[in-house]
This record gives sequence, structure tokens and C-alpha cells, in this order.
Amino acid sequence: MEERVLIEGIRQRNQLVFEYIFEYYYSGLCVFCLNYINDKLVVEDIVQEFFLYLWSEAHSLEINTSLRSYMFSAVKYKCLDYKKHLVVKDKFNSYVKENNEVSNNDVFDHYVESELREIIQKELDKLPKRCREIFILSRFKGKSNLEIAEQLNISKRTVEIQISNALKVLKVSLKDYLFLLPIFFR
Amino acid sequence: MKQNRENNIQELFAGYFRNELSAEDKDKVNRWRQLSAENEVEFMRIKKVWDLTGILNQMEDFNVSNALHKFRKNIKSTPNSSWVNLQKIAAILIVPILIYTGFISYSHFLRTYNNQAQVVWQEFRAIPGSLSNITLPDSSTVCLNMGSTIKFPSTFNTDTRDVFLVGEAYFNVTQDKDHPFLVKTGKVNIEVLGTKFNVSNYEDSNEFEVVLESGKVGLFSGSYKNKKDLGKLLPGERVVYQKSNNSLMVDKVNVDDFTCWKDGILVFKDTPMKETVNKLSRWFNTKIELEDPELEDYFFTATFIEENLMQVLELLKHSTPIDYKIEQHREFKNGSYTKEIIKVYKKK
Repeated sequence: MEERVLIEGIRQRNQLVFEYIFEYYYSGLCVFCLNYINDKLVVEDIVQEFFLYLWSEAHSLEINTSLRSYMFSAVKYKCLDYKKHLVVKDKFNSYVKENNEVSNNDVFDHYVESELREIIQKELDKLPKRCREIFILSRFKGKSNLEIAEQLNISKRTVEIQISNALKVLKVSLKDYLFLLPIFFR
Repeated sequence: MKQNRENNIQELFAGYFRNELSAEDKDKVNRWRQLSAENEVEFMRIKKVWDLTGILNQMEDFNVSNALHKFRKNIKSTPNSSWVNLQKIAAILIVPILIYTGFISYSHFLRTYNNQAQVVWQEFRAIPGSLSNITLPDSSTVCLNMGSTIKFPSTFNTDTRDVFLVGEAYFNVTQDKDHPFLVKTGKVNIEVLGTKFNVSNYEDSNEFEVVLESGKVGLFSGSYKNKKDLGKLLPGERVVYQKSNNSLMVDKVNVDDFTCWKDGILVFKDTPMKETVNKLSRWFNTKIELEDPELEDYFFTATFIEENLMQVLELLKHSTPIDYKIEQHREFKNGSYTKEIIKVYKKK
């Protein structure tokens, strides 16, 4: 749906529009927040609260950028706010340890599940069956190379080769998504 | 051969990303990366693919439909989340009906406002059977429904513009940010911020209702200086305060249904018969009584524009399980008399 239509729908508190953007952005926003707060439950609360805030302030919203960048940066600020207000010191310390490289200046990419899935699925489907199977076990089922080798009764080396092949193929077809920051030659 | 070695190195990437490599292999990869800018770019590209698939995997872990279900529930109970749970402030509302309703203590108002220069309090009552259009000292307009009363000063020269209402009125308030417009109706009062809204505060009703057409209103209890905010209404919303169980309910409505009375249109939408009969009584200035209590919860829907009472009663008789009987007015020896009464009962 066109962004302008969506923004107008939000301003008018059109429930259909709200449900559409909720389903479209929810998981992407959650994963994005994980960069700032490594806690799935907290992150879901923050995103849920953000949508409720959007609903209650609908009429007075001013979205000057794209809807997408508005959503992601608004939710980013909610995360930073949350961190600022953490009262329990222990919790805060563990966040600091896990996120010691995250500062206000860090930029994380904005991804939406349906878009990502479409691209990745399309490219994964192009892979040879075995290669795809191994790659999925590794990347989507979280299995280690050794576990995969044992499960499929093949050598660990084969697993490594197959994953490497998959990555090479995907690298080519996902090239539009590989927005890379400047590389510093070490 | 270089190609072979590169292939071998790339096979180590997955292990590298997962931190499963031996120190020796990890070094191999790092050294390969440092050999050239192309190597490093190649590494980063593969890492990016790795990350993207990982991100998709993470996304799948979030249950969107559960979250959406939660969202739907949340917006239903609080259309705007500024509403206060009344239970928490029940203590404040135990205060008995304030003197603002009814016609008691006229002198109280004079006492309170007497230090101001020559302010005269005026009271307007819309004659039963008619509407009254009134302009307030600040150019705000009020349409008073039948049998309703509004009280306000000849000039608004205090910090707040106060009016008192018993009954029902449609307000169109001029904006004046420095002087909040307050509608005092009893336990729950209204603070207005330049808007159009309808207030229903009938004495014989268990409910107090405000419907907002445009602008913004806030509800509060207690005095304005020490007000306890109960929440804010947005256009298209209605708040209903139930006196009997001290509760607030907010929902979205078609505003026209609640303000059309000022254009002479009578609307019933799933209205319980008891309320229908009350509304008709006021509208036609006739006492109408429900004889059979079973009829009370029957829900009635209709729109009347210019029908007279007889036409409405006939329609009710044909479309609902009711019948009616007119009792003529009787005059007593001492000169008093009863008005004509219409008795509505269940069809046999």
C-alpha cells in the first residue's frame, strides 16, 4: 500500500490501516530493537506500546519523512528511553555488557519480514536441494556444522562446503540488499 | 592455486560466524581478509548474507498474530490511553452530588463570585417541547434540549468560564486558551478546548454522557484547581459515566446520532425501551410510563423527523410488542391537575 494512503489512514485512526502496518512492521521493528535491548519480552512490550501510542496520538501525528523511517526511528528512541530509565542496576549492567558497542550514533538497517522473506526464499529455492537443506538447518534451525553432519550422515567437510556454496549464491542474488558501510582496509 | 585456497577459506566462513573455528582456522581467515581490500569486501558481503538470513530467522520467532490480538484488545478498552481507571479514584467520587446540579443554592454562586464586579447569574430553561438556542457572553453557542437548564454569568470575568448544566445541550465553544471553559454537571465535569460537543446529564438517567464532534475535551472531577483528570476525548468518541456503579466507558460513535436532536431529528439505535420512553416523554412533553417491566430491555431502533406523538406511538404499536393507552388529564377539586399520561404495556 502506498505510504501516503497509509499515513492518512493512521491519522484517521482507520483500524484496517493500523492492522496492516502492525502486521507488516511488527517483527521487523522487534528485531531492530534487539540491537538496543537484548530481551525479546521487553522489546515486544516496547513495540506494542509504540503502536498504542500511535493509535492514541493518531490525529496529531506529523510524519515528515517516510512512514518506514518514522516507525523505525520512533521505536529506536523508545528503546533508548527505556534504557535510560532502567532503575535496577543489575539489569542495566548486563545490558551494558551485551551492548557495549551500541551508542546513539549506531545505525542499524531497517528490515521488514515479508520483504526479506520474499527475497531470501526466492533465492533459496534456486539452490540445489541438499545445499538448501543444509543451509536451512544451519541458519534457520541453528544447528552446528557437526550436528548437521551427524543428522544427515555426511562429513563435516561436506557441510562446510555446502553452506559456503549457498552463501556464495545468495551473495550474488542479494546484492541489492548488501548496503555496506565504507570498508576500512586493515 | 589461489582459487582453491580461496574456496577453502570461504568454507571456513560459516564456522567463523558461528565462532566454532579453532584458533588456527580463525587466524587463517583473518589473515586472508587482510591480504587485500577485495578480500575484505568479499568477506563482508558473505557476512551480510549470513546476517540477513539470521535476521529473518529472528523475525520468525515473533508471534505477530498474538501481538495483533493484544493490540486489538488494548485499543478497544482504551481508545486513547489517557483514561484513568476509575476504581483508583473512587475515593474522590464518593463526594455527594455537588451543588452544581439542580437549582439549589443560587446564593452560593453569588457568594463565590460576588467579589467580582456586578456579575449577574442567568438561568435558562428550555421549555418542555422546544429547543433553546443561547449565546453565551464569550460568543459560544449552546442549543438546549427540552426541559434542560443552563446557568452562566453575564460576563466571564474569572479565570475559568463556568457554566452549569442539568439536562442535555450541544455546545459550540469559542477557543480561549487562557480561560478554560468548564461545564459543571456534578461528579464528572468537563473542560473544553474550543470544540463542538454534546452533553447529556439528565437527573432521571443513570448515565452521564459526553459526545465530541470536533476539538478536544477533558473530563475531571473535583474543583478545577485541584482537579483529578479522568481522561480526554477525541472527536468521534463518547464517554459514558454510570452513576450507579461509578464507572467510565469510552467508545467510538456516529456523532450525528447524538446531536441530531438539535435539528429536530429523533434517533433511536438499539435503545432500550425504558430510555426510549424517557426520551419520548421529554421530546413531546408528555408523561409516558412503561407498565410492564419486561419491556424495559427491549431494544428499539428508529429515526423520527417530523412525526407527532400519535404517529410515533402508532409506529411503536406496529413494529414492537407494545400497545398503549391514553389517560386523559384529570382535574382535582383543589385546582391541581395531572397531565395527560400515556401508559405503554406489553401486547397481549
